[in-house]
Amino acid sequence: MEVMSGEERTPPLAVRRVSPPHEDDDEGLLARVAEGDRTALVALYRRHGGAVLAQISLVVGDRGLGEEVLQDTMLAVWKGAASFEGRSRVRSWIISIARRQARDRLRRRRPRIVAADALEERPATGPGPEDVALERAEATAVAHAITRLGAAHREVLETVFGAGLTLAEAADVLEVPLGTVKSRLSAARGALARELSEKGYAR
Amino acid sequence: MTHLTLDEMAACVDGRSVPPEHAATCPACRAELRRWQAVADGLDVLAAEPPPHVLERTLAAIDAPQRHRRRTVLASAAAVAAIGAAAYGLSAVTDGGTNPRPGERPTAAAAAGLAATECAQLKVAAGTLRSVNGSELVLDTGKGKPVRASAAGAKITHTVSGSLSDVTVGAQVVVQGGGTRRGVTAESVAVLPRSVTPPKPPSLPKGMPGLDPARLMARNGTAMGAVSKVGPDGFTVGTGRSAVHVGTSRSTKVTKQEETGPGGLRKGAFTVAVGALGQDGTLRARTVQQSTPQGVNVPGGAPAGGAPSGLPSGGPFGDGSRLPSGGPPEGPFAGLGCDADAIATTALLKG
Repeated sequence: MEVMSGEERTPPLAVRRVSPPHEDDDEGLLARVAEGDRTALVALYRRHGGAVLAQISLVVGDRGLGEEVLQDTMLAVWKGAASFEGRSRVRSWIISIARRQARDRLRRRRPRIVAADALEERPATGPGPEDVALERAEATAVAHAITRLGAAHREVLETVFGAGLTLAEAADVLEVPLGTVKSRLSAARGALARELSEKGYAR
Repeated sequence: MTHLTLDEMAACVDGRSVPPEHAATCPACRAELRRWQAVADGLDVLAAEPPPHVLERTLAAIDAPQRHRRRTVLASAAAVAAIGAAAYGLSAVTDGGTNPRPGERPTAAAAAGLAATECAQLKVAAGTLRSVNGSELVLDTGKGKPVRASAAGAKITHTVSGSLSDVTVGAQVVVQGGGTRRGVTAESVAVLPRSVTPPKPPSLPKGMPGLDPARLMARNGTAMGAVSKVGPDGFTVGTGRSAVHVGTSRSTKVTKQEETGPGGLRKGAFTVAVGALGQDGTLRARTVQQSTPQGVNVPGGAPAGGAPSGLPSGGPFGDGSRLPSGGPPEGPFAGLGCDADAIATTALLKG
C-alpha cells in the first residue's frame, strides 16, 4: 500500500468556491430547485422568505396579501428556477420576482401602490446634529421610528440594510436610478434622525 | 484620504465585506458606520421569520397534481402522508432510499491528500476510514492515496443523530442555515462535546464599534459557540451584543459529536485526523473526528462536500472572493492557528 510521506499543499481541501456553484450556495440551491428538489426550495425560503416578505408587505401595504404574494413568488421560483441566468444575485432575483408578483396582484385586486407622495425626494444634506440621536437611541426606538417613515423610505432601507442588496442591486429591483437610491437612503436616515431627535434622543 | 462610499458603508453593515483600514482611523467614517448600524439594528427589531404556513401552502400547491395522481393509484392515506413528509424536507428519512438524499453527495474533500494549516506542526487528513487496527487508522483521502494515522492519545469523536433536546444551556454548537436579521434559521445544528470548542469567529480590524463578527456571520447563516438560552422556538448562541438567536423547527436536523475510542470509529465513514506528521509518514493525530457513514444524511457535516458559508475560511461574509484586502486570510483553516479541535471541526463541516 502506498502511504503518503509528504504533504500536498494544493488543493488543501476541496472547499474553495469553484464553478459550477456549490449546491449549498444560493445558485446551487436554485439549480437543485430546477431539478425538482423540494428541500432546496425550503432552504431558499428560509434564507430569503423573511426579506422578501418585508419588501412586499411594504409594496402591498398588507401583511396577509404580502403572504399570498410570497407564496406566488416561491411558486414562480419553483417553476422558473431553470431560467435564472446568474446576472444578479439570487436574493435580488427573487425580490424582483416578488415585486412583479405584487404589482400583478395589485392590478387584479385594487389599484393600490406605494403612495406617490411618499416618493418626494429631499435633498441629501449630509450628517447633521440630529444624527447624534441615531447613535443614542435604543434599537427599539429606531424600529418604532422606522415604522413611521413613508413607504418609499422604509422600502429603500429594507432593500439595502434589511435584504442586504448593494445599492446597484437595490436600484435594479426598485427600478429607480442609482442616484435615487442614494438620495432616498440619506433622506430616510435624515427623517429617522429628526423623528428620534424630537423624541429627545439628541440631547 | 478617501472616505467610505455609501455602498461600502452598506456592505460593511450588511456583512458583505469588512471595513477597510481607513474606517478604523477616520472619526467621520466611524460615526457614519455607527449611524447606519443603528438603522440596521432598528430594522432587525422589525424583522420577522418567514411564516411556516406560507411554505406549507407553497409545497402543497407544488404537490397538488402529484398527490391527486397518487390518491388515484394508491387510494392510501399513508401515501398522502409520505408525500407530505417529503414535501417538508423529510425525504431523507422517509422515502426509503428511493430518491436522492440531499446530503448524498460526492466526498469532495476526499479529492486531496494531506492538507496544510496555518500551524506548521499540524496537518490534516480527511477522507474515508479504510481500516482500524488498534489505534492505527488508514484514511483514503482520494486519488487512491491512503494516509496512515495514529490515534493513540488523540481526542476521538464521532457523529450520532441527536434531537433539539440535546441543545441545552452551555452546549457548544455549530449552526448552519439561513441568515435572517433576527439571527439564524437553523437547517442543521451540530452539538459538540464540551471538550471540543468550535472555531472562533475571525476578528475584525480594531476600532469597529457596532460591528460584531458573530452577528455578521449570523447574517450569512452561521452561528457557533456556547448556548446561553433555550426557548420554545429556538435558542441563543453567545451572550451580550454577540448573542445570536437561532430559530429551530421540526425540520431542523440535529447531530451530536460524541467522544469515543478508536473502536467506536466506523469503517467507510468520513473521518478527519489532525496532528503532526511523523518521520515515517504517519500522522500522529491529536484529534480525530468522524461523521456518519456515507449515505446517511448528516446536515452540515461530511460527506456533504458543501462549504458552508460563514465559516472562518470564507470570512464571516460567506464568500472569500468578496473580501477586500485586510480581511481574514485565505485558506480553509485560516485564523485557526494551532487549535487542532477547531481545524478538525472545520474540516469535518466542510468535508
